[in-house]
Parts: sequence; structure tokens; C-alpha cells
Amino acid sequence: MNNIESVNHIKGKSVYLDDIPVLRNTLYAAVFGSPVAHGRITHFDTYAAGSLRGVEKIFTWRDIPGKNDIGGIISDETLFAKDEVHYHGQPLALVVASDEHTARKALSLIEFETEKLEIVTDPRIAFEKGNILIPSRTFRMGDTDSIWTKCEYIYEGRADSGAQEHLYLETQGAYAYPCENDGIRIHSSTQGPSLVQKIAARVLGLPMNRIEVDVARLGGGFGGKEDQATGFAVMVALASHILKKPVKLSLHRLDDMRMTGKRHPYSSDFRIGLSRDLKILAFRSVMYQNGGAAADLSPAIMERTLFHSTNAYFIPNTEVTVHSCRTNLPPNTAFRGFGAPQGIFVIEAAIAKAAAELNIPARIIQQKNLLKENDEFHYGQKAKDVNISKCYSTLDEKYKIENLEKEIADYNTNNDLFKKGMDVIPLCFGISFTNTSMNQARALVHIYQDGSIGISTGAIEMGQGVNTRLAQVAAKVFSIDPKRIRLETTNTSRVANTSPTAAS
Amino acid sequence: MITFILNNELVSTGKSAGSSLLDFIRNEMELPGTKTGCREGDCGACTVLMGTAGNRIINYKSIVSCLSPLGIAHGRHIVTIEGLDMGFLTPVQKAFIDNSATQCGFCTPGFVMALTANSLAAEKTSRETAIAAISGNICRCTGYKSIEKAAVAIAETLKEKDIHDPVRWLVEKKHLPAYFLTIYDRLHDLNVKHPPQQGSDIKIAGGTDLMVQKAGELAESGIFRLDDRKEMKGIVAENGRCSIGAATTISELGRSDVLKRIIPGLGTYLKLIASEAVRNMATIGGNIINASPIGDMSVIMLALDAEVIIESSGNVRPMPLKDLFLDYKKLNINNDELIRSIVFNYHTEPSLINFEKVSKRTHLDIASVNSAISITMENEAVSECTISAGGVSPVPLYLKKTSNFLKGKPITAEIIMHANELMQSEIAPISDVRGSKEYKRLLLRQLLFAHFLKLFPGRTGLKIGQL
Repeated sequence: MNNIESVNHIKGKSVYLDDIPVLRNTLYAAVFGSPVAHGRITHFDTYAAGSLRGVEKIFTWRDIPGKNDIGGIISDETLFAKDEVHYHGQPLALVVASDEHTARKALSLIEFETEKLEIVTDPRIAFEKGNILIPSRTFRMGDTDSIWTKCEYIYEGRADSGAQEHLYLETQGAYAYPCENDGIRIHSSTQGPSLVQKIAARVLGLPMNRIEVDVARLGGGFGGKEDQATGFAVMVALASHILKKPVKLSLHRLDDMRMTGKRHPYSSDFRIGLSRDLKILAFRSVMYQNGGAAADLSPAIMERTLFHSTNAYFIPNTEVTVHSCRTNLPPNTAFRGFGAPQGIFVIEAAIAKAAAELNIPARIIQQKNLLKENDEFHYGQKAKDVNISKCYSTLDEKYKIENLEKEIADYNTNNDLFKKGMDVIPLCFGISFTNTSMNQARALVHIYQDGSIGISTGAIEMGQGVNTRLAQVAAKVFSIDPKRIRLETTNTSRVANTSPTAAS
Repeated sequence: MITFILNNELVSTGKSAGSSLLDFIRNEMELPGTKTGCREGDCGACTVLMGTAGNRIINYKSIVSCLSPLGIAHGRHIVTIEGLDMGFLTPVQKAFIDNSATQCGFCTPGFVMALTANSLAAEKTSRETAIAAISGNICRCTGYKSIEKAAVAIAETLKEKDIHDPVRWLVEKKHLPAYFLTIYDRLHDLNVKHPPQQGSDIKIAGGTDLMVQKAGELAESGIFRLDDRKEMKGIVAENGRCSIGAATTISELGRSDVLKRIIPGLGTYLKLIASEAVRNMATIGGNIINASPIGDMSVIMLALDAEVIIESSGNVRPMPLKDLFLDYKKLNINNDELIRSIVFNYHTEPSLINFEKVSKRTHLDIASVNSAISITMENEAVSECTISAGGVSPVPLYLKKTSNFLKGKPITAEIIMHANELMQSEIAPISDVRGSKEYKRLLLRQLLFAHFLKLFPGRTGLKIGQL
């Protein structure tokens, strides 16, 4: 079945945040972000900017009726910086004006000076200085002390993986307007509408039932809108609540790229020990997670790194430590894989190093150490229904890895200007949230008198096709044509207290 | 007033000519199918069609509306995704559905418009042209394979296209709504005149750089359009001298048979410059006047030892291109002057010309380092040689010492190695986001080797593995 949204997509009729028809008197916002990466604020004057014709109001921390706190897991992040700024682009103010051009023009009139403080962007240096976001964690199994004497081969090294920008094609944005009885409706481009609702209530000092969050779809999320859509949605909610007018914010791409966090860069040291017959006997790693200036989702990402640090292999003696380091970068955040790729990269780097030293293909070591039924992970879980060896051999049968390697080697011998390469990496990935209570979902299904059906869930459609799948499920359950099923927007008033759409 | 046809509707607006066409389409005309992705021409989500009346037909091309000043639409036909709607799906749209080429959907209208422009092009459509047409469109969901399949399927439907009157053929085959057939007469009847231009207006040709660098300023300004000035358009080559109008677009350079004969590899080089939709707007003069130290066209033209013809209050004077660049973004001309054309001498036999560019990604990126070379051989020795390099000094650089050294020399590994040493003394790269100065030195060395390896295959004596 084709994606039920595709006809609207290809006609340009699907409505994203920036496409919602605006109400009369809608005001437009722009965010003033810190021009320095670390500093103590010595001068911050919005008078000239506020006097620009068309500017309605400039919001700062002083205008927050509730708590200046948007932290999700840990309360360590402000909506608007107060005394110090900790990363370039950190929001300090929201300019609200009659149009976007004026709001952006006003940004350049804001006077802002700081006393410069030391900028740290390297997680190892941050760790040395004691700048960590949460206590470090170690997962350990077996004997990681005396086992090294039993290893035939021991290799050490360092692995670094860099940041990555989500580049969802639709930038962050939100549109909020006041409703009856002190209510606010927020349209947000978020993967976590309940989080937006909860944090907006906290910042505005309102009960959650006054805040309705509605999401039609996202133009891509990839984890970048799991936690980081919240701040922008709360800013427009604040402005709308105080001005009693509709306020819209759709981030300029450059602001989005500089203000929002990326995939966490990691810098890791590893030590791997193998027996004569290439069984990995021991693996030890210390990983420095570059968390940026606030925790955001770093604690959960750290956990997933730990879970995946031995990838698809059984390693009887394992010790892995992750330090979540506070640096002067935007708070790094969820991104497809959620810490697992960073962990997997280190063990694969260790295997690659061993293979290079031993002058054999890495796959020889990989295949000898693949997980088997009932093998234990370094956090106690036993592996069940293990298919990885079958998966590897099926791949080999289909593509003949050795033949391909030979073809490539021949090509490289005979070609000076162009070279080819190939690699195979098995993968073990845990689906669902590591926080078990978040693995829940609900639906509100209306069966109308004519037999047509309307479905609301907590899931956000962002290109993964969840609306199509839900329509298929409902069509099967009711034994009706999917055309008679309509997927409604995701709305906190229809389905409440939801988990973010993530952890697939 | 700016007057043009938007889809099937005549529009007139008093909005400032320098504001973006994208904002006009979305905010004033309330047509939200065209998406705002980056406002830098980098993602293609805002791609629309621009039709210009030609000889009895309308010539359509894709443009990125974020970098198009509204004034550029004056007297033209602009088509958005809404303008393709005819109650049923176009073959382009159908191919996207059949191949699951849309996921979140945000990039999709841009892809559909870019591929529709490919259908409309007055040339044969192939798998290659279809894929090249979407070179400027980013999709973050699909991984592109499904989109590539859709593009190929579309190319299949266009095999019989009448390249002399593509619009009529496409309307007949239900690729386009019928109203497209009325556009030529309607534009003709409009008989638009240029709106009066003022001294304060910002001179703009393609706008692909100004609309990024000065978007705020332009949004409140009029524009002084250079894109359709006849004396600044076109390519003429006669008696060993070639002249290119400064407002000639990069796409037009690529389509020129004359230039292809003089610079055989030009088509390949131009693919490394921006995307199709940006090349459709960006001009050779703009690329040079921008004074970027890594301007691709500047580097190519320096290697051809080109001159620029400078126009000031009606008078024209020539200046060697290598004298135009004084310092970082500083030019040897006054504010009221402009480049009318670029001229260079060419040999009737194809010269040995090569251009190399290294950037963080192959396409649609600014070079870390680029370089071009032009060589003439006589009796197994170099008789003439011009080498240029970008990204290794504050200006696009003519490598005078290296070029002079090579004259009279045979092509040997030793000579090339020596040329590299000399070249290293002529450059002064700085470390920046595009690489450290040491890396840029290494890159330029490799590009020099690449010039010789490509122009003299198997004859340089260079052993790549040993370098």
C-alpha cells in the first residue's frame, strides 16, 4: 500500500507548520542567540531594538511567569539565558514584530556584551576540568583485570566520531494563539507534543490542561525535534500568552543550524585482547561523550552507547565507561541510532585495528565472535532468537564477499587515479525506549454513524509512514477499505501523556 | 509595478523588486506548496519554473525562488507546484507515488518542479538529464534511490518528446495543464516594459550570491536588472577570439557548442559548479565580480588568460582578468562600473585545458582548492602555459612563475615536481573551515599532478603510489 499522504505531498497540499493559514493579527518572532560561546553578560539592552517601528515586544527571562527551565531529563537548561551564556546561539531573547523581516531587523539592534570566559569544545578537556553533565557510568562483565595476561594479542587505540547535523528539511518552528479561559493552542513541529505541553506549562506557570499541542506532520525530524523543538514552541507560547495574540516562529536555516544540537561527537580510548584463535577475550573502553552545554537527552543516549558498546559480539570480559561531558556547544541531542552508532564505532575501530595489525580482513574476527543463543550481554541480558550468524552467511552466499574483495584488490592494483573499498559491519540494535515505561501507546478511535472512522494516536507522522500503517491496522481490524479511515492530527487533548515518536 | 503570470493568473504587485520571489509566492499569493528550506539555494525545496518568451515559444527553466528577486519575474511566467494541478496526476507526480519517492514530503514539490523543468527542456530527455535536473534537491528521508527510480521512469515517458515545441507536446500528452498553451500570447499581450530603475537600486544579474549575502538589504530595495541586457548576453567566437556576455548564465555556457569546442571538458567542469537550478540563474560575470578567492569561473578564465571588458557610463575598456583582483574581495574597478563581457583568445586546434576542484562534497559546494590549466605543445615541449588556482591566496591566483617555468619544457616527472616546488612559493593559503593551510598546499600539489595525468595520460612518468 502506498503512503496515504503521498498524493498530497506530490501536489504540495500537505500542511506543515509554516503552511498553517494564520489568524488575523498574527505576530512573527525571531530568536536572539548569543554571539559568543561562553561569557558572563555585562551589557544587554533591547531598547533600540524594541523601539523599531513594528516591534511589539522583546521577551527575555524577566518575562517568564513560571520557571525558566526547559530541561527534559535534568533541570539544567534555561529558556532564555540570564547571567551567563554557554554556547554560541544560546537563546537570550525573542523579538516579536508585525512581520518576520522587521523581527529579524530588530535582532541586529540588540546591544549585547560579555566578559569572555574560557571556551571548551573538547570533551576530554571538559572531563579533566570536572565539567560533566551527569555522573559517569560503567558497565562491566567478567574479569577485566587479569584476563589481559591470557590474551595472545592486545591492541590499543583511540577512536573519534564527529557531530552530524539533522538537516530536517523543515526547520524548527511553532505557532501559538490564545484560546478561551486562559488556554493556549500550540502548533509545533515536534516529535514530542506531550513534552512541549509539559514544559510550556512549567514555564508559563499554568496547569497542563490549559495547553493544547497539535501536530499535523513534520518535514523530517530524525531525533532533532524530539527534545529541541520544545524551547522554540515554549517561546512562542510565552509571547502569545502575554500579548494575547497569535505568534509564529519559523526558524531561518542558519539560526536552526547554529542554535540546535547535533549528534554527539565521542572521543574514545580502547583496548582489545584476543586469543590465538581470534576470539575477543577482553574489551575495555573509556568514552568521552561531547554533550554540549546542557544535558538534554545525553543521559539516555549515554545509556544506549553502553548497551551497544560490544555491538553484535559476545565478549566475556568487558568494561565500558562513558563520561558525559559539558562543553560550550549547543546541547547535543537525539539522532537516528541515539548513541548506539557512537558505541558500535569504537568496538569496530578496535576490531579494524586488530585486523590491520594481524594483516587479516576484519570480517574474520567479526565472524568468530558473533553472538550466539543465550550469550550474555555486559548488562546481564541473555541474547535470544539470535540470527546474526545466519544473517552474515546469507549475505556471504548472496554477494560472495571474498570475490568482491578480490575484484576490488585487482581494480586498485590496476588503477592509479581511482580506488575502491568495501566493508561489512554486522549490527545489533535494541529497539524501543530503554526507559521501559515509555514503551506505551494509545489511540482514540471514533466510529461515526455512517461507518467512517477517525483515528487519533500519540504518534507523529514525519515521513516514516506511521499514518499509513495505522490506517492499515484499522482497516484490517474493522475489515473496511482504508479509504474510509481518516488519520487525525496528533493532539494532546485527544491523546494525552504520550511518549515522543522515537526509538524505532 | 511588477507584472507577471503566476501559474494561470496575471499578478501585479508593488512589493519591492529585491524581496524574494519565494516570500511573495508563499505569503502574498498564499501558495504554500513551494517550501522554504534554506534560503541559500542549497536544498531545492523552493524550486519553481521560470518561463521566458522566446521565438514563438516559452523557454522554461528551474530556478530556486529563495534566491530570485521578485523583480526578475517581471514579464515572465512563474509556475509553482499548484500550477501543475489538473485534477489528475502528471506523469512526474505519478512516478513519485509509484516508486515511493516521497516520505515526509517536504522536499517533494521541489523535486517535482525540477523534474518538470527537465520535461520542458528543449532537448532530448534521458536518464542522465533527469538525474542532473535534481542535482540541487536535497531529500533527507529516502536515501535517493526511490527518487532516482522515479526520475528514470519519467525519462522513459519522454522519449518521443518534440524538442522544438515541448510545451505543446507535454500538454497533448497530459504532462501539463492546457493553460500552458495560452501563456505565450498572454505574455506577448502584456508587452511589459522595465519598471523605471533608480540610482539606489542594487545591480543584480543572477542574484544567487547577493540574495544570500544581502537578503535584508535587498528586501527593501529596487533592483537594477542585468540579466536581460542584450549587450551582456551570448557567446561569440570568431578569428581566434571568444567573447562571453557577462550576464550569460552558467547553464548557457554549458549548452554552447562554440565553447564545448574550445574547452572540451567544460560540461564536466560546470557540473561541479552549483546545481542545475542555480546554474540556470548564476552568471559568469557575477561569479567573477563576486571576487571570491575560489570563484570557479574566475579560475577557469584566468587559465585562459582572459580579459574583462569594463563598462562605465557608456564607455568600455579592457583589463586583463589577472589585474582585476586586488585583494580579498577588492576589485580594481569603481562602484559605478560593471563587467560587460569576458574575452579570450583561443586556438583553432583544441588546447589542452583542464579544471580540477576539491570540495567537501563533490557537487554543490564551494571549493577548498580549485585550479585550471591551459597548455599548448610544440615539438614535444610546452610552448604556452597558463595555470591558475583558487583557495590558496586572498584572490583567484594566476600562477605566473609556475606558468613561465613550464614554457619550453618537456613533460617529465622531474619538471612537474619542480613546477610544484615553484608553485608552492607562489601561494599563501590560510587555515579555515575548508581546510588547514598545509592541507590546501597538499591539495593544490595533487591538482597540479591531476592536470598532467589527465592531459598527458601515461606520459608524465608520475608514479601516483610513490607520491
